[in-house]
Amino acid sequence: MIISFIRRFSNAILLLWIISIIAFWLSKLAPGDEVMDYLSIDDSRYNINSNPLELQNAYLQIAHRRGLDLPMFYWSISPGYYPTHVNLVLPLDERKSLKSWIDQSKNGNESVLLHDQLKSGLQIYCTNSNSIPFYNVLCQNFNNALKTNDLQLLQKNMLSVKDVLLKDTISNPEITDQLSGILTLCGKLLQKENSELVTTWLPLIEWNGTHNQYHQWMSGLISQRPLTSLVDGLNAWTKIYDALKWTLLLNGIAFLLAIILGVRIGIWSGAHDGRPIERIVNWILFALFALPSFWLGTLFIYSLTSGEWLSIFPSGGLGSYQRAGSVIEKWSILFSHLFLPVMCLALGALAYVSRQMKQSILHQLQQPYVKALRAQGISERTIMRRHVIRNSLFPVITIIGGSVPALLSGSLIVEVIFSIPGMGRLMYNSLLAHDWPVVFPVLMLGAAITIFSYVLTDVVYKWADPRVKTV
Amino acid sequence: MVRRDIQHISAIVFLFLLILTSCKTGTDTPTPLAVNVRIPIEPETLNPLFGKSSYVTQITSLILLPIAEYDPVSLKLSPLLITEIPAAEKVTEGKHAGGQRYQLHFRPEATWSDGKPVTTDDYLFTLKAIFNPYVTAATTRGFLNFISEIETDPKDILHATAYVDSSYILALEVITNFNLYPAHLYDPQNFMSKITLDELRDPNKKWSAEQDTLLKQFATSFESPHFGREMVSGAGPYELDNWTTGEFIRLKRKNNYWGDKITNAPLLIQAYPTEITYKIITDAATAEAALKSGELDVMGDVSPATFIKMRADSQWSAKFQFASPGLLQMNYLLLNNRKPVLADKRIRQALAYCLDYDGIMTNLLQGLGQRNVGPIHPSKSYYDKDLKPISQDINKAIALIKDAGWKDTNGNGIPDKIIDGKLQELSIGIKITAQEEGKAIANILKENAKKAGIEINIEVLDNSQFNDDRRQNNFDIEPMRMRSNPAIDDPYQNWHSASDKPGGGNVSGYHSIAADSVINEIRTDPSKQERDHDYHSLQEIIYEEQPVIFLYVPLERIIVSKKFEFLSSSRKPGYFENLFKRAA
Repeated sequence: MIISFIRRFSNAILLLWIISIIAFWLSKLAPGDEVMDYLSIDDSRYNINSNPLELQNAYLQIAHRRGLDLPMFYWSISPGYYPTHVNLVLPLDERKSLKSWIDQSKNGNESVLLHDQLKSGLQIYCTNSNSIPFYNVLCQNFNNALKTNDLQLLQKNMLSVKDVLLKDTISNPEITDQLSGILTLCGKLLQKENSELVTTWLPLIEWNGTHNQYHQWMSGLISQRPLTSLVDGLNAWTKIYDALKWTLLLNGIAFLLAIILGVRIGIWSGAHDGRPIERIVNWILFALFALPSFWLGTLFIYSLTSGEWLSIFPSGGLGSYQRAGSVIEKWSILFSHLFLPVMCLALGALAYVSRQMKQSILHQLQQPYVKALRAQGISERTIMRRHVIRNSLFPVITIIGGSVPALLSGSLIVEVIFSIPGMGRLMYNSLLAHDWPVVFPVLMLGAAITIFSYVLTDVVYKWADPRVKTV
Repeated sequence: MVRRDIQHISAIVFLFLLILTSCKTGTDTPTPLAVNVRIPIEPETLNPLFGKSSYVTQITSLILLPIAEYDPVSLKLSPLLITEIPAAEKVTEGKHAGGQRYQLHFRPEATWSDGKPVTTDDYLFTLKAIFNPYVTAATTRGFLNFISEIETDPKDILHATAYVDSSYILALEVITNFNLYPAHLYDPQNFMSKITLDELRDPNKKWSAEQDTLLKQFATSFESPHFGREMVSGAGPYELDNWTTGEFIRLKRKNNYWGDKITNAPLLIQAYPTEITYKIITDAATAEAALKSGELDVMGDVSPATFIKMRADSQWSAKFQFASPGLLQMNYLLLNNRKPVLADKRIRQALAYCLDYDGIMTNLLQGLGQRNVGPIHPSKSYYDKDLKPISQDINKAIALIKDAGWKDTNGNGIPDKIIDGKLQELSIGIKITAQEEGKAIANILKENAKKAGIEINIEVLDNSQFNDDRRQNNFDIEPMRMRSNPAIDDPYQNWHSASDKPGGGNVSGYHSIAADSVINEIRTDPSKQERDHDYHSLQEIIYEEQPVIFLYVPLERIIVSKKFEFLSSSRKPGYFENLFKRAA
């Protein structure tokens, strides 16, 4: 038993580690550039006069704060013709262009050289773009070039800049020399016969050590080091705790109601199967089970809170419980706000539990041991209480085991409809905002609880029925 | 048996008590004048420099004030922390010769939450905080870069002189329209006083290790949640009382607020409600129910259908007031002029003629919108009323397509043309997000364009991907909205060819020598008459070229309880919480 438990526990840990890697990689596959999203302001006034270098510095600052300037994993694999550290180039659009130049030319070193030259030009011209004539034009053109994927287009653009400069009397030889150097590099890259094709077929594997994004995140998670939300700068664990308490309260009450009432109704239905009243109850339960919670929630809100029909419950949120004068008043405010969401969650679950329980009771009642007990003259009541109900509890144990993760992960739709700041809403908002320091702990917490609740369910199975064999 | 009965009775009593306690309890303890406002999204911070959503601006405008702001009624700059709007003085000598000078006289009555006076030191501190290179306010710095120097008066803490080197049309706005932070509260250790504004603005400045540490320490503290969620303080009439994450943000009116001492105070420094609570309600149906049940007093951005339905229903029109001021916003279809198909203005014009504008106005907006012809908002005095909004004309669209050389040569029903040696079908993509309005417009465009033979392919993207594709110029069409403000328009950012650059505002990639020349004139025109003439010329050029398709100017939909008197305005959010009064 203990060995089996240890084996299951170690498998669970391994599974969690695999989930963490998958989650991490999926987050990296999220589209768009989260730093640019963060930096963008929806007001055209604030883009006037913006200096590319200043924006780039701001980008690098945010990327550093988010750990995006580190390698992603312990090792990285790229095509053989890629020079090392290409995957560390930031901003992302510059990395994309650099990779595109390398892919077009298969010449990694010269592509990096071109990137470095453009970068150093950007530094010089953008720093002094306000004070030296024509530097602003060069600054913008170098910035454009760094973000141009097509080498031919880049060469064409730089050539026209050089032509304009040569026509202009204010040009100086240093600048034209630099432009000539860039054009020569472009020319070389476009001549594919110079490419380093020898290494094309061998992948480049780089060992990044523990200083990588995954390790930083994982060690932060394990050591409970402060994980800071990227959206509001709050501690991620504090945000999770704040949301978890409401989700636990909401789902806990709903869960208890569903189990207690569901089991009782299931036993009653099983014992009174086929009677007209049981059929009506069965039909109602089936209808409740079929109703989606968002529909039930909207119906409750519309008919019981708005005054369109009745206005006996508050329409959402948790109310002003903080201003309550006494504990009773506080809980009264909270219950008034939680009643409808609890009902939304409990009614569907109750229907499900009672139907499972009923089926199980009916199954047990047909077993030979029940006939034997009846033959011995034992009363129906005793048979039900001592034997049938106990043996019928298996599906309920499964349901309880399977429901524990849902207790913590929250019910997004009900939380949104009733404005409850629980885990579902936290996870949804954090995902939309790419707030990974909040998303990962929530995800891992959910995964850990799901896995361990199944391990525990197995143990409880064995306790409830010693015939269950350890696999 | 008796035990079983007791069990049943207990269960019934428990359920009864549960339902009894669950029924609607008294709402908030009545306060002298409390206003409850719905916000659908929780702001990430209450430090306006770092907030992204418009709700951050809405809430913080009651806590922090700029020295001047656009009045909700006159839509002209009104002095809030200064005694009057300064006049531009020409500088004829010294290092700012050729530029302009503005004298700023701060109000002696203006104080911070702790009673300390608002001085020019706070003004300078705010600029230093923004120009701190470690503070992530690069885009704001871009706007404020027009200020060349601030000179404080050593003899008068309430007087400063601001210099602007060029005669830029928005110079006054640049100098006056940013929120002021109290230096002694946001920088208690006086870090920023050790560094000058000139040093901060010098791109070649090399910081000493000590200065670098000071700048970093200040930036970390300034951007921390402490100043974003707890200690949010300014010269405005309200202060943060309680922010319960995910539930509400409550502001309370300051005791001994300085604005009460001002006679004929500008509207934005007046304050009537004692308490304003912003309730975070994501779901629109729940918010509507909360409004109807009296848990909310104000709801903005109501869907057109709900707005019309409630306004027509006598039950609700007896309880609520309905306001629909024209918003300073323009909705349009962004066209990528760099794409070979859309580079031809005839195709852009054809697309414009395809659209059923009347259908959009009636079905999508339920009549709550108005047409516009170009980049200038219809409320502006220089809006060109002589230009008539384009109407649907499929025959004209077909003629334009034909004129542009497109013809169905392969019999697939879609016109085609050889471009750069390749056969190109007249097939255009539109990228949208999950937002309903964008989806509706994309479907209308698809249906209408089909009548002229144009194939429209709709692609639904995640917000981040949608924005990224626009930044990378990887799109044909995207439905967008353009925020306008009461200031004079500077068309440079969106329409000048120099703004077609990575990170620039000319996302459509529109290039026109004529438009560039007019825009340059507008930016420096000293006389209003000449400027207005140039604005008209620009509108005519853009109307003719159709670099984007202007759809409509939406009307805001605001519902307010009849318990209050309120003022609606075309400035976002369309109502001003500080001006709510109890209805007579």
